[in-house]
Amino acid sequence: MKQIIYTRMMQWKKQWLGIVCWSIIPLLIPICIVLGTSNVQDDAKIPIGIVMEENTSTANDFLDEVKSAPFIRVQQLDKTAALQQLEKHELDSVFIILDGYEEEIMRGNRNQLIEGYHSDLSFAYTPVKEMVVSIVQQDAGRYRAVKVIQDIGERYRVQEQWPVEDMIRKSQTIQKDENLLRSSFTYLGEADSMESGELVSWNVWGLWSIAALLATFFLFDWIIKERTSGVGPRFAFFRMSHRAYLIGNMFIYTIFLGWMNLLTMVVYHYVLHEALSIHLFIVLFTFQLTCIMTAFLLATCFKNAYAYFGLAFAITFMIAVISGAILPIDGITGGLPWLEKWNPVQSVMNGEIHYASFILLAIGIAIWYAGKERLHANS
Amino acid sequence: MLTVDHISKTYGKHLILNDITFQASPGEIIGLVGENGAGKSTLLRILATINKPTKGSFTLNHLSPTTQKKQIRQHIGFVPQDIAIWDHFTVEENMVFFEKLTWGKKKNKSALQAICKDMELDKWKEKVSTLSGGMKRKLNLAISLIHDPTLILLDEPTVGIDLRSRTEIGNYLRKLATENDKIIIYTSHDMDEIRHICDRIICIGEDPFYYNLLKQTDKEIIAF
Ligand SMILES: Nc1ncnc2c1ncn2[C@@H]1O[C@H](COP(=O)(O)OP(=O)(O)O)[C@@H](O)[C@H]1O
Ligand SMILES: [Mg+2]
Repeated sequence: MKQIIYTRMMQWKKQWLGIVCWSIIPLLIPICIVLGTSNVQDDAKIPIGIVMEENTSTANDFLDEVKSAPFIRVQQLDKTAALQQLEKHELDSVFIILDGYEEEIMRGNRNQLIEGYHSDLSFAYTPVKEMVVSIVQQDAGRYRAVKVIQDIGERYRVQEQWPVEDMIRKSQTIQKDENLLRSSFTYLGEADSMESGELVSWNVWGLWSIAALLATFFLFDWIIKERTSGVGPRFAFFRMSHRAYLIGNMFIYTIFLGWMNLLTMVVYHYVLHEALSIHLFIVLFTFQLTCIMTAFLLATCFKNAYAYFGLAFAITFMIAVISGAILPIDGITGGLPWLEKWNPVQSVMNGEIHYASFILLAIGIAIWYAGKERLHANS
Repeated sequence: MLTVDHISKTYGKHLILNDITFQASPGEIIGLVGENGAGKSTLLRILATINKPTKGSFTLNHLSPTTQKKQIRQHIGFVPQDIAIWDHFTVEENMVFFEKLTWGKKKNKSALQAICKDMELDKWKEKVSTLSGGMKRKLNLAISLIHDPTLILLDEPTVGIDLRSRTEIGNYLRKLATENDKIIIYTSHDMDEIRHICDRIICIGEDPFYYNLLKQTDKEIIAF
């Protein structure tokens, strides 16, 4: 093993740039995408000012509802500041929730509850106003429904009246659940991020795993390079068989990439506020091993590096698509649970340790190693 | 001492080597000739224990390739027909790299450099991709000699290189056999070279062309 490490280091010294690039890329790409798009998204959102003249729970519910709209960035301020900013075109429009909002809503009154202001440069006033109105109508409608239920209760002389508060809350939860269902097409676990007001939310580890898969393929092109270099027949006169040499090198790459996984986890913890846990490391490392074994077995089948890279791209792209890590199509795998089970990227995104492909590949490597050594004919 | 005992090799129905028997003693250089496809490389690969004969066997210093494969390989140096070196390494790095993987006693850098110097391969620090064909051939040979083998098998070691390198390699092989008691078997298409360097000649195949040419020499010729 000492010799294999020494000779691998000699090779790495010559290819250090490629090695560094391909081991750093999976770490950097998700950071760039996540930070990049969140900046762009924030800039693309419409800045809205909301002035709260009253501080009741109904008014606050209204504010939360507006804030959860994905295309809007809400700023809460007082009236003078809001109008000043509107004049300077720092806000697209301003909405003032007038004093007595809750009372009016409870009475079923939907008019003159909110004042809207816009400037000559407001481009989104009308759609935002429509949205605000619809929220008011929704709230008013909710209270009207409560009123109807109360009336029915009275008419049929129901002894115990439900508290209004409870009915409102129940109605809100039902609505929220429905929203969850509706937005789940975007992608796993993103339903709540829709509520946090993100247009698109990335699964960081999903992005990482796709990049790591591709990078691992590229890191393992040494197998093809070394096989086609004609050095093969020399292994008959070396301390170890060609297979043992390849396995030893795979082991070195595994240790190296394991450290990179750890580094990635720490960097993501600080930069992207991702969790830091041993479980997560095991998830990442088993995924990394799955990539390594796939790349290894694939590379040993190829004589042409370009054909290998082509297939590597195809595999990575296919897995990216079926996982929805890049294109949000939860629908495909939703219908095929077996695909989800065999897809290592899916497991990483779910934060689960991936066994299926891992075990299959490990068996594949064992069979490959036990197989008869075939030395490359040179005539 | 190399004893080759009735070796035959068939690929499918195709008989390539038919009942080859000869002996070689230390200090001897044997030239292997024959038309293209006659089976020269096949014989060398069998003697290098890379391929197995269909029939027959051989021993090297009483070691058998079937029962003592690992030991016998330590006494064999095989120089592949295709150059098998790292293009992106220097001569020095190539020697160090392969020394690490080769068995036998450890050799330090100066011992490795001495092997190269002996065959007048002096571009120690130069990258292989900048070397001439002759220099590459020399390095290809030098790597196969790191573990100090007793039987050296060379498959067309001088093909396609300049006359000077060819002569230098020839002289080196001659010196290696005589001074270090090696058994050397090598193939070549160059009749002058064969006649000049070899002690004996083995002719494989039925082509009378080579055989007649060889008859003009005073060397012992074994035909199969
Ligand atoms: N692995 C193999 N399988 C089938 N036929 C082979 C194989 N290796 C060599 N041969 C055939 O054996 C014959 C001898 O080849 P070789 O020993 O390379 O000839 P030479 O080196 O004398 O030119 C050729 O006809 C070649 O096609
Ligand atoms: Mg040949």
